[in-house]
Amino acid sequence: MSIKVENVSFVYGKGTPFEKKAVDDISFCVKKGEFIGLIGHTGSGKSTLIQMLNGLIKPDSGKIFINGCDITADKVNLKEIRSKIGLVFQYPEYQLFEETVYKDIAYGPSNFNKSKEEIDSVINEVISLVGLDSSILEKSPFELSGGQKRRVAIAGVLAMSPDILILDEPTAGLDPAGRNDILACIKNLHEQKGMTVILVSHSMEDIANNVDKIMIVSDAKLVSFDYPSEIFKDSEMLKNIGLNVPQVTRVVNHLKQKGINLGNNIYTVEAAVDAILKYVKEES
Amino acid sequence: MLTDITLGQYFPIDSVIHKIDPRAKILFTLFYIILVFLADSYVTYGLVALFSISVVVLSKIKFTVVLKSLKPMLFVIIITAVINVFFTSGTEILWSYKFIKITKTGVVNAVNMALRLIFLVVGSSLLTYTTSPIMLTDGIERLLKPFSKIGLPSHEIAMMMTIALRFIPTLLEETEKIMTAQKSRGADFESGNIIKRAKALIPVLIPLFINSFKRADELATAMECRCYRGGEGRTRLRVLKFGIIDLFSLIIMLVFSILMITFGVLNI
Repeated sequence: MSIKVENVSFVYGKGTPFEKKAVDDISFCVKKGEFIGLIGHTGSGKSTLIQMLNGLIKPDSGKIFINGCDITADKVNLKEIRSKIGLVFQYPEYQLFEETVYKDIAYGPSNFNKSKEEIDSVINEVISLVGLDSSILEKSPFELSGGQKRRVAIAGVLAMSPDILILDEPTAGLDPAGRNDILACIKNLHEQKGMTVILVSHSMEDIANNVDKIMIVSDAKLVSFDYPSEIFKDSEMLKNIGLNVPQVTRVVNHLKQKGINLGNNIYTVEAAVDAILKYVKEES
Repeated sequence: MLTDITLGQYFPIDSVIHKIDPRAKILFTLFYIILVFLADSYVTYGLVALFSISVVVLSKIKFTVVLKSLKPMLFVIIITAVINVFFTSGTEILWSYKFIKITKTGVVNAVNMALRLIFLVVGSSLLTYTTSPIMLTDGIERLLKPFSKIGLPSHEIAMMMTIALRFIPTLLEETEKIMTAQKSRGADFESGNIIKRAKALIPVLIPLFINSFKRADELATAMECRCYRGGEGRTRLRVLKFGIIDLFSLIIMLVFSILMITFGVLNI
């Protein structure tokens, strides 16, 4: 499944005193199986942009093609598109409502008229995909811990068997362990199932550790869409729009200023460790 | 969508009407409502219309916004008018078909009721358009103060109203958020019959309720942490004072009332 966005714009509250441009003439293309990181400030238009991708918000102008099908056209079957594009919102655990975890995960697929057997098998699959035990299925979602709730909510989206998964800050408010679990689970989905993933995050570390390409949105505009190595080269540009390079890249840059050149393109801790070991070996 | 509701919304504009003391504004609105019911002739309706239009002009709020506030009431207004047209008995029959009769008094009554309702809605929505929720509840608290002698918890009532008003936008925002989230899980709120649609709302209402209770609990704790203990001995940041604008508005209101009452008594 590929995504193609052409000159899309959207304005909130048109004609009122509260008018605000949320998305301004954005175009990009995401190929099947890519893992994209989307970063930008609060209010930069990220959330509006991702909601456009599954037809929740219709752009004022511009076109969006999902697998060549124009979803901005009239009379398009949005329900079908929504089943193909799983959208995990910020704090998705607040949407849980059913008596049991099982029923809550089944809400999505049953809306798309899947049979009982299909739902059964898909639930068993997704519950292990998100790293939960199947004994949890009969519990009420409200008695789970924060991290567990989050995973149940993500499972609820995965249960629709989407081809594209979009996650809006899936790790916000979780402890480091919960964070790593969720990110590992997303990476796993991407690698094993070949899912196209768009990950919205504030954390440069999360993005740097996982994605193939990075998209930067600032002030409703697409500032940059490139490989991490290119993006993190330009730390000034990132600083100007209120973002920064990953911590470890900052350390490497500082070392470079002090005369210790570890090389370029270091934006994960692993890469930094390798570079430092190599440097130490060469020096001695 | 949900945020289109204009009834009860506040428009922060700098105008004379906005500056009137909220206590006075609330009392004037009550008075205005009574006076609207006194109107029953061309002259008195003309007077009410003149008064209402001048207030709207002075408040600098767009006429389209004021008309929009009538939209949710339109159904009620039409129903009242229709009932009045068909079910008022009278001597002068204008048109009849079998058992249906339209009398002159019926038509007059219908027009009367419709006009009254329109003026009532316009008048009371102007109050909320031009008074911020905080000012409004401040005013209500002050007006209810005398009743606290007989045990009415005026401060608590005002605080509850402030909190309720404060959370309307939050709840609307959250409803919309949950709705979009469930929509992306394939929920369908727009099609099907009324029972199907009501059922479709369950996945929205349950999380909304749970979150509201949670939020209420958190708010109560936060208030207690800041030593909130009700109205007793509480001073306020903004002390309401009777100013020159209030005097002017009082005079205008008095003139308007006297005119309305005299015309009413004289049957003009």
